[in-house]
Amino acid sequence: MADVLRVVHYLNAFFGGVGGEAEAHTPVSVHPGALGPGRLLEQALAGQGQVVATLMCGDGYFADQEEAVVEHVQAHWQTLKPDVFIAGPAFRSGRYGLACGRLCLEAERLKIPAVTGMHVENPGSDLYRPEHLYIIATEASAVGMRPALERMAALAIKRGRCQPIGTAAEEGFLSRAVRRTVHTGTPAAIRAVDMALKKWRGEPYISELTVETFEVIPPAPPLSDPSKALVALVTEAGLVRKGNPDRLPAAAATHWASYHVGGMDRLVAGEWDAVHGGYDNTAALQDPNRVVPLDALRELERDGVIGKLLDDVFVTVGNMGSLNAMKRIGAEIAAMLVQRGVQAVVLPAT
Amino acid sequence: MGIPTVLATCLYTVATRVGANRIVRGGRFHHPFGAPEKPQAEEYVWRRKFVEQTMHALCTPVQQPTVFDVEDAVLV
Amino acid sequence: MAQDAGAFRLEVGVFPIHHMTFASETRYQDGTLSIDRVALLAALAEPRVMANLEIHLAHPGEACRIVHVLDTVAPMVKVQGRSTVYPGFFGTTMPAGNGRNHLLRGAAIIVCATFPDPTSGALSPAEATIDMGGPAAPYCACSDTVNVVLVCHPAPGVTNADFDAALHRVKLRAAVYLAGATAALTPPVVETYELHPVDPALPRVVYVDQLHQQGLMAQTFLYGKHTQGLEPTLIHPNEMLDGALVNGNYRAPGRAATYAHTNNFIVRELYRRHGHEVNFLGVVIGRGWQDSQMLKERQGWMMARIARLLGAQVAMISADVGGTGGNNTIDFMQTIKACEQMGLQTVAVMQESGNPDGSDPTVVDFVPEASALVSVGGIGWHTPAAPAVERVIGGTTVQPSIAEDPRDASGPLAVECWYGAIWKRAELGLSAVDA
Repeated sequence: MADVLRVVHYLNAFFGGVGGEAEAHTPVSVHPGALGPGRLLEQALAGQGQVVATLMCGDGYFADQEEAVVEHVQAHWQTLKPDVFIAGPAFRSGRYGLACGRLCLEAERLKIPAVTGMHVENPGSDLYRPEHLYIIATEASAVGMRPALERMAALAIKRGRCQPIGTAAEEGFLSRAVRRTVHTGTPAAIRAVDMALKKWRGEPYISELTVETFEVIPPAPPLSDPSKALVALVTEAGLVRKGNPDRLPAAAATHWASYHVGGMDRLVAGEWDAVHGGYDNTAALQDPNRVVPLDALRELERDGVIGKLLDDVFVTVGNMGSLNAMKRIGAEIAAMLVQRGVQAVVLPAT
Repeated sequence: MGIPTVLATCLYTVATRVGANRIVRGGRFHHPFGAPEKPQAEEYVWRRKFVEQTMHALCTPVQQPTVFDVEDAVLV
Repeated sequence: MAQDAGAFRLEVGVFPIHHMTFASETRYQDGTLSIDRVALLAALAEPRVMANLEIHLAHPGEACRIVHVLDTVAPMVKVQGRSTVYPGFFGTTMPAGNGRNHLLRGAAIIVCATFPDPTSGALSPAEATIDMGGPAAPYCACSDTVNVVLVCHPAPGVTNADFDAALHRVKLRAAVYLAGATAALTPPVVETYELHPVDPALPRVVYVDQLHQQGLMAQTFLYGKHTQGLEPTLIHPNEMLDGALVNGNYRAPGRAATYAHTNNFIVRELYRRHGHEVNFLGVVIGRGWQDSQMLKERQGWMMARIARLLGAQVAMISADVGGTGGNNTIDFMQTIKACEQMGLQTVAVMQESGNPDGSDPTVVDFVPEASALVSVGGIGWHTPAAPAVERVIGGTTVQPSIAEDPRDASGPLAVECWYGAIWKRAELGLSAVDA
């Protein structure tokens, strides 16, 4: 018989029993055992897990003091040593959902398996699903408390025991930006025509693929005086020195390179190759400035339109690039640019 | 980070979807800063204008993904 | 009696192949094809362009690996009718889709070669490998057919373009020569393909097929002419069965093939249901991989308007069984959007990409109209690694990525994508789910 899992549960102050105006401003506190809906959660755990402690915090307090709350919770986890962390369910409550999502993300970073629950339209869902968190889909209100807790408990037990997890549809969680191969047993053409006939007849059907949304990136403020600015060229077009000395691949790149262009008025054909496997490189090989416009930028530099062009060009290959790899590459290049005082970037993309 | 960055590409629907905030669009994606159908001297004039447009984008405040067109963009 | 060249009635006499062997004469008997290698070589010889041509046989289940695969072709020959199979490459070109063919089912011709001049960028062949046995075999197209493998070596000084042209001639002549062994025989089974009139209440369905065309090394031929300037047009499915579409695309290894065109998965399924559940109107073909955003959007509308002008109510959409990745995702999504906005209900079959554990967004572009998608899962997802093999046909080293050194072709091999993997995944019924 396996050990009983140590579960730490997070609730907002409202569900923890603190009502009225005090609710929003309640700082984070810890209570032994289960509180409020935590008792139903413990029933749902059916002896496989025990709620050893409940962490509670007002949603308003969390919103104002997010980093401080996270630090407190991390300290509590150190002491409590949970096997699994369960937050919510938050239903449609936006600030509660954001709090649950953030805390689950922090738990996962510390290798504590975490499960939360909220309605698909909770802002916490949009923000935290791309982080691959396990978020059980709940109804819009606490009317759905029991089924939500039952599914959260079942999933938490599997995660706590490192048991295989079913698909999103089977376990009841929101799509978490992870796909898994399945054997349907039916060739694609048959599935496709079946789906078409259902669509034609107005019968319900399930698309095999839905699409993730991307995070919003706040725009950087514009350059106030380009004539004083240090401008850099960064590209994903895979323009490399002839011979591809840094072995950039034609696709699915996981690294980047930089090439010195100081003293060059333009890129000279024959000295460069274009290895990105997704575009016809004939024009680029005839004149690499068609991809990385060093000639025109040098002229702007000489004319005083821009202050200075950085002496190095940063290059990767974007073809079939894994988003996570590209994020890391972008962050690494950005760190280099910040270090060197770059104030603006021109990014040719193919 | 806050370094204004302008993405020069013709595939602007992908660029706006992933959240690039300053996008300047040009001709074919095989050569974002090239117009090889033009004679060389004319092509360079076009490229210089395109690069100036990227500078314009870098100096323009934006609130969300914004596409800047190069004047008389080459389409085919 | 005057023949109706517009009847589009094609009979296919099917001869099953279970085994092939070399012998003193080319002969078909009881599922075995004996091949006179000398005669076949003589029929295929291209002395000006090819220095050497090897002919090998490979059977399903063998511990055998075929490397540098460029294309695969179904062996067939027209025994009655005015044109030839694979029209446009030799003999009478038009009309196709009529008459009677003999087809060797369960067999394929595989053409392997390395081009004489190095290439890079998009117009560059990628390594494609078939394991006939072992854990990777089920994920390889043509691991389940008896294969005649033609390994072609270029003559000194020949250009990539001339060599490529010869490769098409060689593979198609081989197809006709081998199937020709049955020309005088009576087929055990004859299948008839005809879009007879059906109950007008059945949904009118069109297949919208976006072809791969970018340039040399990435081409599709229609009646012998590459489709670089192709504006979308209508073809009859029999024309596809007859080989009007020939593959010259050697990019990502999961790609389509001539074999996949003559054996097209959507065409077969719509024919199967014609008259029962659907009214199969025909096929709209166009080329994807357009050069600019404007041309990608334009292409979507050019495809959709033909479908609508035909009176289609439903459109099944695919991109060549293997082409819904990279920047072509945009062309593909624009086609879906245009068909839906033209009043057709669409279902599109596509592949996914992203990293092997599925934790990356798996499509590069999307439109809200793409609400009915069938996925064959991802390139590189759960692709099994293969052990060392006893026998390699086609070369001694493989280089699955330009970022890595070439390695011994006979050793253990873990590649992101085996040959024809996308259409194989479609046949196998693989898909993907949110997990």
